[in-house]
Amino acid sequence: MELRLLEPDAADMQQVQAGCLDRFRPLVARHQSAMFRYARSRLGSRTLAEDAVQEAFLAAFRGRHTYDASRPFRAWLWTILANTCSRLAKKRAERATTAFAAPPEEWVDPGASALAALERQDERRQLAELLAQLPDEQADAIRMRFFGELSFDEIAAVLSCSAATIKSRVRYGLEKLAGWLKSSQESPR
Amino acid sequence: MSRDFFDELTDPTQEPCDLAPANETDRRLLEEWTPLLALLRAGAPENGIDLIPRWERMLRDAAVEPVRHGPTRWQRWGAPVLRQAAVLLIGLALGATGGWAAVGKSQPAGKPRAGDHYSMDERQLMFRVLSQENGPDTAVSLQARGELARCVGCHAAALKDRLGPVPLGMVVPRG
Repeated sequence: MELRLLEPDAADMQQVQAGCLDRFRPLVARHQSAMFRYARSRLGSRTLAEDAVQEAFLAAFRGRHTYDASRPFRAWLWTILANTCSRLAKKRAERATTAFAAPPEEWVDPGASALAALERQDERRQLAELLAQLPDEQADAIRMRFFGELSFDEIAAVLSCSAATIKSRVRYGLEKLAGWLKSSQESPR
Repeated sequence: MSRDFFDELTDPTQEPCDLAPANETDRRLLEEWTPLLALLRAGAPENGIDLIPRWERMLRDAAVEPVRHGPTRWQRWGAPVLRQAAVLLIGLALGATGGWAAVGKSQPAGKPRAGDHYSMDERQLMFRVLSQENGPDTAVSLQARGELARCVGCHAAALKDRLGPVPLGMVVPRG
């Protein structure tokens, strides 16, 4: 018989399924930042991103008995998040708002020095504009990889395709982004 | 581009300056993508969320209830009974096909008839176990006894001393 140690996430989730609800708190602490970064980039609004992450955790908590501990927890949680973001993005689109309608100060770190804050704000806006030009599936794969810090296998599990497909999407997306960035740096402003 | 180098290049926790290209292709790719990778790191959305206090409030208020997708209590209780009834009926159906055709012919008690999947001893044991397990008054027991009554027509010689009274309303076929 093969014994397999559960990863911390799966172990915590098993405890939650057994009724130790407090064990959901470390799962929130562990994953909320990466999930927020992805949702923030995807939805373009801090408020919507917070809603998306909170709704994803709520859905995961309510559906905790559907989680299979033999499968990676992060992929399961991120699948919920991706679907939540899709739903909120659709709602926002139906209200005909754009990703950049948010006031500029939404991109600014509270507490940063004025110059650093401005530079950071400019970089974030530039990156958001570039990502918005990519096909959704390439942009999503790049967001999950760079902001969510998911492995290619995890992204493949979330998006229901092969790791090779995800790598292709990331590669073609990065090639386009690199080309646009180079053009924007070479052309006069 | 080597596959491992692509994984390293797109790893957000790796700094491009720490990467070691293995060949000319990798080196060129690193050079072309370094500005973009720097932007992906610098331009990533901020970590500005803390949901822990909200979750602690919710757990304290016990406001979050699970959505149960498992079987209901009725389904959990009824499933074993239905399973046993299904086993009984399938066995009877398999036996009845050959049994009805062989009515009137005498067969040794231990050997199965043509078309029967169980020997007489096996069938008797099965029916006895099913009846005993469920007690005299349960639905399965009543059904088992009813079905046993039907078997009398096929196995009259072997079963005549082993059955209790046939339940009221049960028609016992005579072959």
